[in-house]
Parts: sequence; structure tokens; C-alpha cells
Amino acid sequence: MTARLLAIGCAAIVGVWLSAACSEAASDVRIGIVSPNASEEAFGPVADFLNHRCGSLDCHGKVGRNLQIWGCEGMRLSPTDASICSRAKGGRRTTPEEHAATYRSLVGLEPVIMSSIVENGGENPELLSFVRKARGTEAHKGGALVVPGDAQDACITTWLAGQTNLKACSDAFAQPKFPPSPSP
Amino acid sequence: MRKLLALTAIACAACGDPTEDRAVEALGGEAPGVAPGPLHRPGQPCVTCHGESGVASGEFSVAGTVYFLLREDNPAPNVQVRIKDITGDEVTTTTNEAGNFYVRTDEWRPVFPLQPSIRLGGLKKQMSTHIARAPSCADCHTSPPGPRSPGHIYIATSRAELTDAGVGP
Repeated sequence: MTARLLAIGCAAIVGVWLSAACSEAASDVRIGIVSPNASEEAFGPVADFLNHRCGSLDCHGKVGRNLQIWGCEGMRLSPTDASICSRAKGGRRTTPEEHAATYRSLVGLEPVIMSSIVENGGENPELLSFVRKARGTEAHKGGALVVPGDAQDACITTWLAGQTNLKACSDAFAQPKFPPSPSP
Repeated sequence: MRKLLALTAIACAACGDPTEDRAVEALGGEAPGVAPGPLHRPGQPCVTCHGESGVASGEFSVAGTVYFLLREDNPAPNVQVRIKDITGDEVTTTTNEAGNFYVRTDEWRPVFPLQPSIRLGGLKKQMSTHIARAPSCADCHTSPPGPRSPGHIYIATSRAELTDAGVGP
């Protein structure tokens, strides 16, 4: 009886050791993803729009957010920069490094889904939580900020499709649009 | 039954929001010689205490402090503060001696985002971005300017601008 228990115990230990050995991965292993275009030409205008619309210091311009957006309208990457765009006021425009930091945060949120969307030419962008939250179809503290098909939405979705609509990104800066005041 | 109710009441009173408690504690005590009131704690995030579940009396929908210059700490009184919400609804108020302004929730409940502007004499400044959700200006506008702040709210960028407008300390 004792010998049988000992044999079972040994077998269990060897089993655990073998399964651990099989699942061990090197610390530098990375998963491969099909990522959207990270170039300044393709993503820079998208990042600037995101900074303007979503990256204020009280929203995604905070390091505590899952989606972190960097730039001169919100949090800065360099400790020597202030959250000011205007040079006349001692600020500096958003840098390519900040665009890259926003890119890493955004693409890293749901890399597998992002891969699938990019592989399929940008089809079904709403599979990304980021898009659903922006459209307000998923709970979002900031509410519904974009409407499918509007300039803001097109800026994001055309980038995911590999052909950033630069005019849409530029037009998207008109948002949020406040009604005119009745008096000066 | 009475004992149970009493115990429940005590338990509920003891259960504050630890995040909020820490935020209030981080503000520190009152400045010497300044009693709690409209002139106290300029530059601090007012709605930390004057919020829906805050420890102070009076609930504010928006509040902050205006200074004369970006990198100096002279509070700017008599500044007209105008805040518009995304529906176009507006409120106007004026800063007091401490540079403080506040709008009570029973006066105005805005729909975010907000677009504020300030005016003093011939000087007018409009916030270059918008307020997405923070009711306290000092949640973002802390001094000095840095990677997490544009600095405090100011009416002029230079003394010359103040002099030209005939205003200033």
C-alpha cells in the first residue's frame, strides 16, 4: 500500500515537472500581431485627433487609463514639456515620440482583435472596444463622441483600413462643436 | 431591532470612500487666518470636497481660481467667468478677492464637455481645449506648468498685457 502511494506521488511530481517544462517560455518571446500603420504620415493625424478629442488631462490624458493618449493638449512624455501647444506660451507641439506612445497604448489594448481587423482591411472596426466606446455603443464615461461615418469615425476607421483619410482627421478637429453664444 | 438599526447606521457612517478620503486628506488643512468660505483654498480642486458626496456644505458643478499671470501667484478678482456646455447652455460668474469662482449645482447642472472663457477689462481668454469631465479646474490646472498640467488659469501672458489693458496687481 505504502509503495503504491509512493509510486503515485512520484508520478504526480514528474507530471507536474513535465507540464511546467513544456509550458515554459523564454522571457523575450513575443506574440506576433498584424499591426496598423504606425508611420507619422498614417498615424500622426489620427493621434493628433485623439489627443484633441479624447486626450484631455481629465480623460485619457492620464497614466491610470488603459488607453493613454499623449500630446500637447494633455499629458506629455517629456518631463520638461508642459501641457501647452503654443510656443508663444512656452509650449511645444505634440512630438513623434508622443504619437508613438499613443500608438503603443492603443494597439496594445486588444492586439488579437486589432490584428484581425487590420488583416481584413479594416472590416468590422466595432469589434474593438475602443471604437465601441467612442461610438457610445459600450459603456463609456465620456459618452458617445463619434457617429459612425462622421469625420471623427472616418479618421479612425480609415487608419485601421490602411488608408488614413487625412481630410477626415483634419475635419474631426471641429469637434466638440459648441453652439454659438447668443451675445458677445 | 433598534440595536440592529443603530449598528447598521454606525456601519454606514463609517464606510466612506477611501479614494475620496485620501484626496481630501491630501489637500491639507486651512491656511492660517483664512476661515472656510468663499475665499479659502485658492488653487485647490474645490469639488473634491464640494462634490455630490463631498465633506463640505454646498455642492458645486464647476469651480476654480483665476490668476493674473501664468507663472505668478497673484489671484485675479473681478474676472468674469463664462462657461458654456455642449448644449449651448451658459452660466456667468465672477471671481472674488481670492480669485475663486464657483457655480452651485442648484444654479446650473451642465452637460459636459464645457468651454470656458474669462474676461477682465479688455482682456479675454478662451480655454484652448475643452473640459471633458472634471468639475474642478485645479484637477488639471496646477502650478507650475508641467507634463501633467498647463499651469493655473491666467488672464494675461505678460505684465505688459496687463498694463496695456489697465488691469493687474
